[in-house]
Amino acid sequence: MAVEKFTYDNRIAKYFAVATVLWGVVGLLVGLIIAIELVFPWLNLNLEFITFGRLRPLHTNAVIFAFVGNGIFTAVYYSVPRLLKTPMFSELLSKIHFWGWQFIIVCAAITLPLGLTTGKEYAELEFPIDILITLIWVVFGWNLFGTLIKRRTRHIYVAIWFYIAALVTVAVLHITNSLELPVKFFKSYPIYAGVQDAFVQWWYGHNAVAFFLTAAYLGLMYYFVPKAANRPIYSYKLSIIHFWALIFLYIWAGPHHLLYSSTPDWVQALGVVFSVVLIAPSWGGMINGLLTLRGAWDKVREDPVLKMFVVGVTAYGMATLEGPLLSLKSVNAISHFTDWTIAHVHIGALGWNGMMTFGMLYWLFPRFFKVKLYSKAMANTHFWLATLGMLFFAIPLYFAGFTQALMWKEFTVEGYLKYPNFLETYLQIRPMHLLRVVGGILYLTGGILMVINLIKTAKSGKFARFEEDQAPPLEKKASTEKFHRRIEGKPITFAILALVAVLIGTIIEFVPLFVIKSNIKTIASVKPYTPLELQGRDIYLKEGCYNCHSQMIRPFRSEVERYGEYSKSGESVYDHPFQWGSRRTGPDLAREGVKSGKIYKPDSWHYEHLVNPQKTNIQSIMPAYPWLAKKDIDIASTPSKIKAMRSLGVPYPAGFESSSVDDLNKQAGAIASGLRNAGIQVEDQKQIIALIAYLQRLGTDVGANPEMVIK
Amino acid sequence: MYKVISSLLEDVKGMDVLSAISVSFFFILFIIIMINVIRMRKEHAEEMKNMPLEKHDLNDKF
Repeated sequence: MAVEKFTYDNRIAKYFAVATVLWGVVGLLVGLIIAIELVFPWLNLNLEFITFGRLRPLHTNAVIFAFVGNGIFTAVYYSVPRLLKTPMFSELLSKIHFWGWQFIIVCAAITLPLGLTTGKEYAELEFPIDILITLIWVVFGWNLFGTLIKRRTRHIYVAIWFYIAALVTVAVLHITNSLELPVKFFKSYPIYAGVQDAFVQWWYGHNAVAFFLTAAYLGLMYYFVPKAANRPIYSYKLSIIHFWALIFLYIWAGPHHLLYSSTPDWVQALGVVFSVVLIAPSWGGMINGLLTLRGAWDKVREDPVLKMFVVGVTAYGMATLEGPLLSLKSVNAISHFTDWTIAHVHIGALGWNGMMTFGMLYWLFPRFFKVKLYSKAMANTHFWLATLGMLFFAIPLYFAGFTQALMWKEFTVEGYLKYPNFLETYLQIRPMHLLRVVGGILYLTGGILMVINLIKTAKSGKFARFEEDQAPPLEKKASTEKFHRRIEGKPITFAILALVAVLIGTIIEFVPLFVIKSNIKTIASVKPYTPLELQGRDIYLKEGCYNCHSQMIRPFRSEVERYGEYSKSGESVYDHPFQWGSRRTGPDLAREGVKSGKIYKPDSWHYEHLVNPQKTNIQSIMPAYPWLAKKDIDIASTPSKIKAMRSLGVPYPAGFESSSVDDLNKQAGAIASGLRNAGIQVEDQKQIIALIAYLQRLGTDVGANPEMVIK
Repeated sequence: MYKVISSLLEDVKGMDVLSAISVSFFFILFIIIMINVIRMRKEHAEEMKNMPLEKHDLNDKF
């Protein structure tokens, strides 16, 4: 058969590789800054833009979507043409994809410090950026499927199965979780509320990890580990089982983030069951990756690329064993809201994603520039810095997590909480947070060494943009192959089946939760927020308070004793978005406003605490928010916010928006006047007034006697 | 249509068995894939395993 000659264009893969390096350093640096801010809160220098609550979403978005995202695209644009024996479908689409994605990252880097956020973890970007992400994802899909259609190989290699699964699933996740009603430019409310919003958010959050950080990176592993070891993957048959089991199971596991919360028990049970079953396919992937190196272990001693891949794949195995263990209810009762979870996710991010990316970059740059790596010794040093950095980061956090959990739950012999002051429990883990900073410094230093090494490598060679290859054209003939062998040659069918696999779990979990009313008990006394409280809630979102404070009291004696009555599903029916949080660096706020409650504080305390937390307690690690006492509430937006909320089903009376500003001013006047009586000089329209109104509302609908009000 | 489905679903009882049903469903799929994989010809598996590797990789000097 005649052979066709063609060329691969390395330019876009190189662009994405450079962007991966750049955003990787930025993401790590921001992570390091917020780790230091946790120990030394004054380091926000009283500037709103660099406060922990605003920078933490920037860190997570930079690492996930900028560093790992560009890493995925580097792998795709390098491996897909070579595996399919054809250049990418369109150079223009490739360029739009690259520059569009970088533009999205820049938009995120500007808007998040400005406090323009949806207030949903890992999905903080506001709707104009969400729309951009959708468009660029379509461009990526178009380019990928265009390339698949004009391929010269009949069967699609396993790496591309994972890319396809990631592409279709991330599209479903992003669109479903980003359904929101715009109020104004860069301000929207999600269409879901309370329990349903929590469920959709963690279905998204968990599967962003599953498909963006895992499935796409498994594609990377299946291409680059065999290339680096110069050996075929251990088992193609295992990869089939591992692939379908993984994508089918992963989608169900999201509710394990909501154990003991006010989500229905059946959803929690599904999350636990599928998380445990997930160990099998996850370890199938790890075994396939590690055993690819059989007979090549001698190379691992020498080659920094293989060393990084080995640690990366091992970290994947450890994280995917730990995840299911954390989803067991008895373990989760201890681990949830503590630093244990933070340690767990960083084993995945620093170990699996970080090491796999570093290995790929060290393998790619010499081939881009047709020259040997500038310094193998430097790469080996990077390897050890990254490995030690990861351990220095995670091990103290494991100890911190256990310490927090045990202190939160400890009672005296008389039956009282041994550590009723939440701050006491934080002060015990402060040294561990300091050690975590050391881990971060080590990991970042390794990253900087890599930047130097890659720049020197690039400078010592010459970029080889085009690479020639040849292959016979794909014969058009009716397939006689059966089942999996057949669908490996049909990318569209393959994508549809992958979509069906992820939709089964999605639909079975979504439909009952959204349709069966008994899943969310209505509470008669729960009323919509007043206009001032609604504005205060938006300030709570803007400042990213959910990054440190939860609003979900679990039904444990230790929590009820500390915070008050446990949270009910009907309490958050008007919360667009829900604010249950995932971590308690500070105390839970779900019953903050209950006057007869355990943690009630007067307005004046809140004012002093927000402006200067160390004034109320010298050891407090909360950053100061002095700008809240200086900046005005965006009163003009109140009517449109009320209208938007009513469109989403919040029962504000018809025409209430026209009197909403008067209502707001009246309530603000009452709070400000009370503060002035307490000797605090503050104007009615300041943001701090709205935030105090919101905090004092929290938990008051149900209060101390919930059985009296549940319908 | 939505109203019909929604009214039907509102009466669904025994949501707690959903996880058992779902896991059973998964194991059926798993067994089907397993059987197919076991019956797969060895040369197909070998061809797919070697796809990322190319002849020039043997002389890779980087």
